[in-house]
Amino acid sequence: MEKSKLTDDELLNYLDGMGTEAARKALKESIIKNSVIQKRLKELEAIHFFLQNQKGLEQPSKNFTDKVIQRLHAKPSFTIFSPKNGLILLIGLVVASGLALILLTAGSFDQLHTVFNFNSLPIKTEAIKIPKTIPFDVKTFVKVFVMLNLVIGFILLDRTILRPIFQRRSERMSL
Amino acid sequence: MRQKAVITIQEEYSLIDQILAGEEALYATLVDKYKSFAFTIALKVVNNRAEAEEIAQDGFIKAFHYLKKFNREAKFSTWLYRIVFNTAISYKRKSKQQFESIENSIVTYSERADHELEKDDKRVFLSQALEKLSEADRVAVQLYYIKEYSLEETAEILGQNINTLKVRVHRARQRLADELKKILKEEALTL
Repeated sequence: MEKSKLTDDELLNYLDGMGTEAARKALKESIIKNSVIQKRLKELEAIHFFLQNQKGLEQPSKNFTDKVIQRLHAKPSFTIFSPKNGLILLIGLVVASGLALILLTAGSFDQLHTVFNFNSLPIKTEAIKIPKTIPFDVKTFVKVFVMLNLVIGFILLDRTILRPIFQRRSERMSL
Repeated sequence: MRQKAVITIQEEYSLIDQILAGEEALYATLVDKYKSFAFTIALKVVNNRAEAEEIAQDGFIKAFHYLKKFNREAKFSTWLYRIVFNTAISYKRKSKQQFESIENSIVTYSERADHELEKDDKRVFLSQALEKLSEADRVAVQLYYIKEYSLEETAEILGQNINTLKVRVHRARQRLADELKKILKEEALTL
């Protein structure tokens, strides 16, 4: 097994034109003598020619350089979130906002309000003026939460889904 | 007016100094000089012209932003191509995760279609066999055969040891030869 691997390596080096003249001559002689090695050389030779005939250097679009220069200070086209992750997060935000809105309209938060009392705090309030009580309304908190969710949702929709789609489409059309 | 694309290493270094001093438009000279190979590297990794173009552009932009960190121990081209190669690899990994299921279905379909239409065309089979190689082996063997850079430079671009690259190139060709042998055997059986 190891022997055949070694032979493959030698044959590939032979095809690559490596080795000294004497070593190449010796290898050529052993190829002529052995029909199994001849067959293997033909197989490897077919691959060698196939790869040699593959396209070499590829050329990008004519305005490639101009595009690079234009984009030098633009934000990178790949965002932190992939479109798939962005979409999952967006769906999560929409579901959370939807649930919050349903609960809000059903009046679930109407009775939930409290007052934070700072009178019993063991600190002197002379140096820092803090109010003695702060009213806290859960309904207002939920409204702010929904608004924030919607803002984040719109940003996500733009950055991770719409912008990459339109950017790629316009770049493909300009190719 | 852009400078001539053929420049020496010393001229290249002075060009980089000028770019770092604020003459950003001169970066176009470097882009012109290296865009073909950068694009080719990206194309060999992602196998899609539009995506390769985007990746190569991103590679140049990243290189521009990190130009201050280019320590001139290696050639600028080697450093740049490594950035392009890494950008292409990370892009491929991202898109692979996203579209794996779609890709698989497309491959199955095209394999069957090609088999029906071009049964005798070894090139088609070998191209498909090439696609079946691991990403690292495929890119290694393709860049090796472009013969644009030495084995040492290609190894540096791919971030690999020269011996690892040699092994990859040999292994890729062995696998392709074995695949060809299998195809020829199957063809003989169907005759």
